[in-house]
Amino acid sequence: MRQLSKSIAPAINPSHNRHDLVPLVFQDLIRLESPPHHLIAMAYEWCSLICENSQGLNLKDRERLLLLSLKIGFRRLDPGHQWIEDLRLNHTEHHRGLADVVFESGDSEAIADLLHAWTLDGQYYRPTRTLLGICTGHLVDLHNRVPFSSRLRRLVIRSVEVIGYKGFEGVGVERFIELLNYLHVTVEDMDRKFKWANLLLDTLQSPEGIRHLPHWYWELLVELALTTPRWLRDENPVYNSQVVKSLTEAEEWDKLECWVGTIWIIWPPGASRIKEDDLEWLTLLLFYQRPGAVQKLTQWMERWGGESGKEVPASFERICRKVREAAQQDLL
Amino acid sequence: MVSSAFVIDVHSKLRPDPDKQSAALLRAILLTLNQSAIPGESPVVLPTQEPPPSEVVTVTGLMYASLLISLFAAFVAMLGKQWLNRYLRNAGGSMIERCGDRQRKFDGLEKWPLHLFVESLPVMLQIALLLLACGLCQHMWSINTSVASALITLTGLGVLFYLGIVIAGTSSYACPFQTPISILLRGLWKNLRYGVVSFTANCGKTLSWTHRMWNRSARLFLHRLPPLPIPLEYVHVQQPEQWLKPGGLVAVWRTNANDVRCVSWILRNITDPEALDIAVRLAGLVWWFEDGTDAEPSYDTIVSIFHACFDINGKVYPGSRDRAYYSGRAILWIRTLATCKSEEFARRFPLLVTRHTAPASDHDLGHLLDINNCIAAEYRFAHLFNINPKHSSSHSQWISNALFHHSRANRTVLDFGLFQEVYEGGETTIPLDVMLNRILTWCICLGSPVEREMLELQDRSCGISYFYLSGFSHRLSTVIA
Repeated sequence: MRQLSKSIAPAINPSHNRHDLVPLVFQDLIRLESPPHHLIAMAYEWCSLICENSQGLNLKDRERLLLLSLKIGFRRLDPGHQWIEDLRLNHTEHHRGLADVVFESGDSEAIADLLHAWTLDGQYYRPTRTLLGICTGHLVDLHNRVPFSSRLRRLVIRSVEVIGYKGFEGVGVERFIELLNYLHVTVEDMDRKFKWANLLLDTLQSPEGIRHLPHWYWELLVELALTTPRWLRDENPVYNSQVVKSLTEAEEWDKLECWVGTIWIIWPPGASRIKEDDLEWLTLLLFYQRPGAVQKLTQWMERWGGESGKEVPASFERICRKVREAAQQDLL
Repeated sequence: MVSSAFVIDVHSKLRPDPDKQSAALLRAILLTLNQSAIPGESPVVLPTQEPPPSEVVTVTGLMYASLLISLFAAFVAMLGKQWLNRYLRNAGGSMIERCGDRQRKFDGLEKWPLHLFVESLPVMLQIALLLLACGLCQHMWSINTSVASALITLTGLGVLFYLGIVIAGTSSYACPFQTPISILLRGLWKNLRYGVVSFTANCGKTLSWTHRMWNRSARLFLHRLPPLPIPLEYVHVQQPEQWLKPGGLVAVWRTNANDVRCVSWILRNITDPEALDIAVRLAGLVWWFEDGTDAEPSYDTIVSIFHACFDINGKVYPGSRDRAYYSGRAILWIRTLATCKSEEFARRFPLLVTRHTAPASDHDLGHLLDINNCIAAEYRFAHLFNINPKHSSSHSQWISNALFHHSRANRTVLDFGLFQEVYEGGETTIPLDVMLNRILTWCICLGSPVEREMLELQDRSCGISYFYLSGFSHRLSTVIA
């Protein structure tokens, strides 16, 4: 393999007398049943070399060689593999040139190869948020340009997870939300749930998120809040009071149900700046509008108590009791 | 054993005669008792014991020497019989194993001068006969000169006859009456002819040979005994961890040299179809023309075997498919390896452009015929690259091996424009062991020097692939790691 690397590196230069062989070699290497990790790293280095020598190459050749290199390294990798122990990818400045070439090629599998390269995690390096950051413009618009295979969808979801909400603010939150809606992310698609919990909290609390994110993402947030109690302790997420106002004004009671549940889990009275009276008022309002929410919130809180090892807040139990008693009196 | 009867007869004459002693004593007693019993004689002291006559000692010595040499000849003959029994003993196993075993033993016979022992037997018997004849003549001379004359005449005639044989054998190598003395004399004559310097050099060689033999003997008996029989596959498959160590590599090359001689010998000397099939199969696997391999393949035999597998319409005879495939493989292999040596050398092993065809379902044979029918090296090269899932894994591995050697031989002249006319590329997957050879091939085409390490890597991976590949994946993972 070292011999191969030594042979190909000079031949990538267009002035090499055997440069015409390089595409043939790449085409042959693509056929390798299961590429060893050395080959993955080498293929990624070739991408850098191709970008470095791009001045001597015409656009078509450069695109062809880059797509082939990415294909050699990443096409046969399981998209579920995010962590490869002994892999060492050397990210260089030249790799930045990959983004435009690959996304503009319109080859969905090549885009997936690139996203896989930039989201791979290893013992010796971390996924490159810097490199991925230059893809946000391409990513938000991707679903309109190329068909999504399950592999591409999985890798786009991972890229979004790595980039985070802040990375997409520059290209427009509305477009980002459009992408999220297209992706329809579930818990099974996530590699790091706490990152998605943060991302969803930021997105849902934005004005565009309140309006445009469908109900299932609000439910997903509750699910993430319930299943990542450690994150709650470590991250201390920011609360936006505008969300309640917007939801009540818009009479989005389903979303409000999820949001109230989220508040009770993430910002219980005493542990945040939310006043106990305000939260009680909000909960009562919800129960008034959605009587079925009592049972749902009670289930969530009991589950949260079980998973986090904490007690359900007494104020929440008192409200629920009051509502149940009032409901019984109405019935009588 | 005839000499033992004469020895017994002569042996008695070495001691003093007891009858004579008894008669002397009786005479002395008689004269003491009655001095007039024998007038004119007085009682005398007992005569002292006289040593045996010198001719008796000589005769006894000659006959004993003759007897001992005969016995020693019988001893060596029995040992020789034992050694040859061991040589002929069948160690069991497959035909390949038996061939390998036989070749190893044969090489041992050539290295160690067993023939000297065998040749010494008649010489010893001749010497014993000469000694017996001399002793007999001398003995008989002291008894009866007439009989002795007849014996000497006959012995002389025998000696003259032998000398005549020796002279005839020395004068002509074609003469059937060869004896060890005639061979020795011819050697001496040659040395004399080329002068004293040459003769001295030969003496030096003899001395160094003696020294080498001594060292070998010491090594053999003190350090190692040849572990026979060694199944061939064990030599390669076991010891996966040691494949890059120099000792292991030497063993591989030595085994290859042994295989080469073995295959070559079978192809030239054996007519058994099963043995020939095995030899042809191996002929497409062993490294011909490498350093340390002096044997060459019997190319014409393989070619005739290949042609005999097809009918007049070029279709393979029923039941001859394997023979056609393996002989075709051997032809391509030999040619490719010969090209690695030099283009001129390769002309001795021309490729066959035939009209033979394989059944549509036989992709391996069809592929091989396609390759063999290509005149241009580029087309052959491209066909070697065109592996697809329809090919068997063993064929793919072998082809990748041939591909590597083809690139070694033709890298400087390949025109990749022509190559791409036939090259199919494709997306089907290729296993790692096959791909490794392709990678090495590409390295060579891209201008990498053929390093020894590459050759050894290739050799250990697929070089003698058909029989020795089972441990490959483990070795490869070691290499990549």
